[in-house]
Amino acid sequence: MEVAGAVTAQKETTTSEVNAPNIDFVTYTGEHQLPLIVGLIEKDLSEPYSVYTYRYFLNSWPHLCLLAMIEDKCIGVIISKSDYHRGILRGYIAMLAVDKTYRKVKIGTKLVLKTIEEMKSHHCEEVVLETEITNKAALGLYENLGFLRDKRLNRYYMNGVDAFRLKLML
Amino acid sequence: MSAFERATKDIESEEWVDISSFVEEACNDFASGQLLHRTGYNLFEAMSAIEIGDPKMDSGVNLARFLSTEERIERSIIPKPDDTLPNETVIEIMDQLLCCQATWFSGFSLAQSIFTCIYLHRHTCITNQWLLPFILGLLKCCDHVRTLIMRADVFGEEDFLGYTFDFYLCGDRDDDDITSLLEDTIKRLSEKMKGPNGAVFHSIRSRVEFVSTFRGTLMALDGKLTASGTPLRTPSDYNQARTILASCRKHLDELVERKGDIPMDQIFDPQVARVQQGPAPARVISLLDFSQFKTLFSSLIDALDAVTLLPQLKSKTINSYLDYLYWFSAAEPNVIARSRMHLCVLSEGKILGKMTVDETINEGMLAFHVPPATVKKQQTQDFVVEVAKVAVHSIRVLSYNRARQRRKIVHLLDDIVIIIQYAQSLDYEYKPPTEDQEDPGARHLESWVLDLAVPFMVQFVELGFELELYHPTEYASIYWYLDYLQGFRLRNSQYVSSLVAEGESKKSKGKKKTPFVPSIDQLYTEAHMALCRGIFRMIYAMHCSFPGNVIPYSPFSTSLFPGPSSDEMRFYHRFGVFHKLTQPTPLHYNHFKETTVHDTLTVEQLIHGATECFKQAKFCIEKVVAHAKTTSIFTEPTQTPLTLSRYSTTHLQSLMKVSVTNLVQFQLLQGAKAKGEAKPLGVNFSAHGVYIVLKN
Ligand SMILES: CC(C)(COP(=O)(O)OP(=O)(O)OC[C@H]1O[C@@H](n2cnc3c(N)ncnc32)[C@H](O)[C@@H]1OP(=O)(O)O)[C@@H](O)C(=O)NCCC(=O)NCCS
Repeated sequence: MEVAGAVTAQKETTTSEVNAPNIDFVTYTGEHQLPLIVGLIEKDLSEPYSVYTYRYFLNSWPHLCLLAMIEDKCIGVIISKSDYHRGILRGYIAMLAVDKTYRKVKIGTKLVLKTIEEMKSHHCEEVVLETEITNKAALGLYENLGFLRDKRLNRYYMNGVDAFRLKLML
Repeated sequence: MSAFERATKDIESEEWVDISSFVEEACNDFASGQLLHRTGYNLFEAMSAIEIGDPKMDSGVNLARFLSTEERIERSIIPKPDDTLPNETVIEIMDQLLCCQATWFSGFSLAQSIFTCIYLHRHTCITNQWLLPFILGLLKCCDHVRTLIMRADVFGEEDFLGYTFDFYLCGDRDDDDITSLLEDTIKRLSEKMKGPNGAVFHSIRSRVEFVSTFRGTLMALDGKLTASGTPLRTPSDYNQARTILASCRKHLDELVERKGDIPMDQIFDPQVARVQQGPAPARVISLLDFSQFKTLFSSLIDALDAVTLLPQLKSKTINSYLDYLYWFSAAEPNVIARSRMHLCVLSEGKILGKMTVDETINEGMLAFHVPPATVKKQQTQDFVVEVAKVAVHSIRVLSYNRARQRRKIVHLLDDIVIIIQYAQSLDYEYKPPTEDQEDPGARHLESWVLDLAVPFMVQFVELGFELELYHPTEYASIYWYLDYLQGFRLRNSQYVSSLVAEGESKKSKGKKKTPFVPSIDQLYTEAHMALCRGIFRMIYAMHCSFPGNVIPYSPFSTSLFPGPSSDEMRFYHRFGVFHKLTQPTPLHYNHFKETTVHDTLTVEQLIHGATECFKQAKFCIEKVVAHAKTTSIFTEPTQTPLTLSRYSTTHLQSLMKVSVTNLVQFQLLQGAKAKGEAKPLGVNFSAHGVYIVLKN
C-alpha cells in the first residue's frame, strides 16, 4: 500500500525526471540477482530466453545492467551491451521490462536514460535496439527520448511480427 | 530415410542410458554461472543454446510418446490412406495440405507446415487413387518453388525457409511421369463426375486441376514446356504460361472448403517438427486457413500474370524494365513471384533471355536523346559495360522485399556514384575543344545516368513511409527533401529537352523556334514535385495557424537530447546516404533550416502558396490523365490486376485525390478559422501511401 501511494505521488510530479524516494537503481553485481531479472522479464515474453543469453550480457557488461529495486523486490530491469559495429562503438539495449503494477510512471524511461548516460561515458556514439512494431509502450518510450526508426525488419520475431530497429545518435 | 523416420525408429529400437548422474558429477567443479565455451562464443550461439530438459526449449523432451505413421494407422488413430478413405476426408486432407503449402510459401518451415501431415513421412503408404497424385503433384510444386527461389536468390530468411530436413519432395520423380499421372487422374475424375456423387468428384477434380495448373505455370515459365527450352524467348512462350495461369485462377476460384467426418488433428500433427534434426523451433505455429490460402494464391497468380506480360512491353530500354520492376515491387508480390520475375527479366545474363543488358542501355540512351554518334563511341561502350553491372545490381535490388530493398538501395548508391562520375568525365571529354574551359559542355551521359539514379533516391525516401519509419514530426523535412529530388529530376529532363531544341534550331536555321511543350513524363514529375511542396507548405501553415497542434512541425521538437548538433544528426541520419553523391547536390540541415525560417512570409502567404501547389498538381495530373487514355506500356491492349505503370488509372486517381482533398479541406479549414470555429485536423494516408491528406 505504501509503495502504491509513493507511485501515485510520483505521477503527480509528471516530469520526466521522477525520483521516487524508495526506488533504488542498482547495477548488476552477481548471480544472486539472476532469478529476479529472469522472473521479471519472462512474464512479458512469448518465447523464453535461455539462461545463456542472460549470462552472455550480464557477465560481459555488468555495468550495463540496471535494476530498479523497492527493498528486495525488483520492479524494473534493463540489460545492454556495447561493442564495435562498422568502426563505431555502439550501445545495444537487449531487454527492458517494468513490473505491471509500476508501469507508466517513468521507471522505464529512467532505466533507459541511466543506461544511455553510462554508454555515453564509455564513448558510445549510438544506441540501437529492436522492438516489435506492435509494442506501443516501448515505441512511445524510446521515441520520446529521441530514438528514430532506422529500419524495419520483416518477421523478425518467432511469432512472425515485424520489428523496428530504433536508433539514437549520441 | 528422413530424420523423422530415423527418430521414430531410434526411439523404439535403441538402448538408452541415463547420464544424469554423470552430468551432475561433471558439474561439481563449476560455480553457478560458469560456462565452458570455445573462443568466439557469441550472442547468436548464446541465444541458440537450449536448456536440456526444459520442455519450452528442448524439443526432445517427452518424445517417447510420439507415435509414428505406422503406429497411428495400426492403432486406428488415423485412417489408412487407401481407397477406403471417404472422399469427403480426401478433400479435407487436400484442403489442409493446400493451406500448409501456402503457409510454407509465406515463410514458415516445411517441418511446421506441409510435413505436419503424418502420411507424407511414409509416402509409400499412400495408395488412395485421388490423394496420391494430388500429393505427388503438390510435392513436385514445392520442389520446383524451392529450386526457383534458391536460384533467383532474392529472398531473405523472413521470406522463405528452404531447409528440407531430408523430406521427400519427389526429387526423384520425372516431370513427365507426374504430368501424365495428373492428366490421367483428371480424366478419370471427369468420368466419375458423370456418375453418382458427381459433385464430390467435381470437388476433387478442381483440387487436382488447381495443383496441376499451378505446377504447369511454374514449368511453363521455367521453359520446361516449350520446344526451345530455357530460357523463354518468344512472346508465345510467355503466352502459353499465361493461358495455363488463367485456368489455374479459374480452378482456384472454384474451390470451396469442405469438411469430412474424420478429425484432422492426428493426421496433421504439429509435434512432427519436434522430431526433426534441423532448425525448427519447438513451438507450434498457426497455419493459414482456407480463405488465407485463397488470398495468398490469388495475389500470387496476379503477380505471375505480370511476369507473363514481360515480352509485351513496348519499350525495350533498361529504363522501362527497371520501371516495370519498380511498379511490380510496389504490389508487394510474394517471394515466388519476385524470384520468377527476377529470373525472367534477367535470364542467362540477358534481358528476357534475348537482349544483352548493354543493348537495353544503348536503347535507353538513344531514347533519352543522347546523340547516336556519342552512343557509338568506343569509350561510351566501355562506359556501358560499367553501367550494365549497376543495372544488373538494380534489377536485383528491386526484386527484394520492400524492407530489404530500402536497405539494399544504400549499397546500390555506392555503385551509382561511380557511374555518375564516369559519365561526367566522358561528357567533359566529348566537349568540342573550342568551347570555354569553364563550360562543362553538353551533359548528355550524366543526365541520362541521373535520370536512372534519382528514382532510386526517391524510392529510398518513399519506402520510409510505407515501412512506417517516419515520425510525424519528421514529415516536414521528408517532403522538403522529396520536393528537391523531384524538382531535380524535372530540371534534368528539361535540360535534355533544351539540348534537343538547341540541336534542332541549329539544323533549321532561320525557322521560327517551336515553343517548349512539357512532355508527359515531365508533367508527371512536376505533379509529384507540386504535391511535395504543397504538403510541406501546408504542414508549415497549419503549424503557424494552430501552434503545437495538427502535425507537429519541427522535425525534432521532442528530442530529450538537445545537444548542439542533435537536430542536425537526425537530419543527417535520414538523408546522409545521399551525401555520397555529388549530383544531385546533397542538401544539408542548414538548407532546411533556412528554407523554413519564413520570417518574411505571413500565414496567409503560406496558405496561398500551398493552395497554388495543389492546383498546379491537379492541372498536371489532368493533363497526364488525358494522355494516359491513349497510351499503354504494352504492345497490345491488356488488362492487368496489378498497377504496373505510372499511367494506370488507379494510380493517377489517387494522386488526384491527394490534390483535391487537400485543396478542399484546407480551404474549409481556413474559412472556419476566419470565423473562429476552426478545430485542428489530423492527417492520414487514405488517398496515397506517400502523400498525406487532411482528415475531414
Ligand atoms: C515498455 C515498458 C518497459 C515501459 O515502461 P514504463 O516504466 O511503463 O514506461 P514509462 O512510464 O517510462 O513511459 C514512458 C513513455 O512510454 C510510452 N508508454 C508507456 N506505456 C505505454 C502504454 N501502455 N501505451 C502507450 N504508450 C506508453 C508513453 O509515451 C510514455 O510517456 P508518457 O507517460 O509521457 O505518455 C513496459 O511497458 C514493459 O515492461 N513492457 C513489457 C516489456 C517490453 O515490452 N519491453 C520492451 C522490449 S524492447
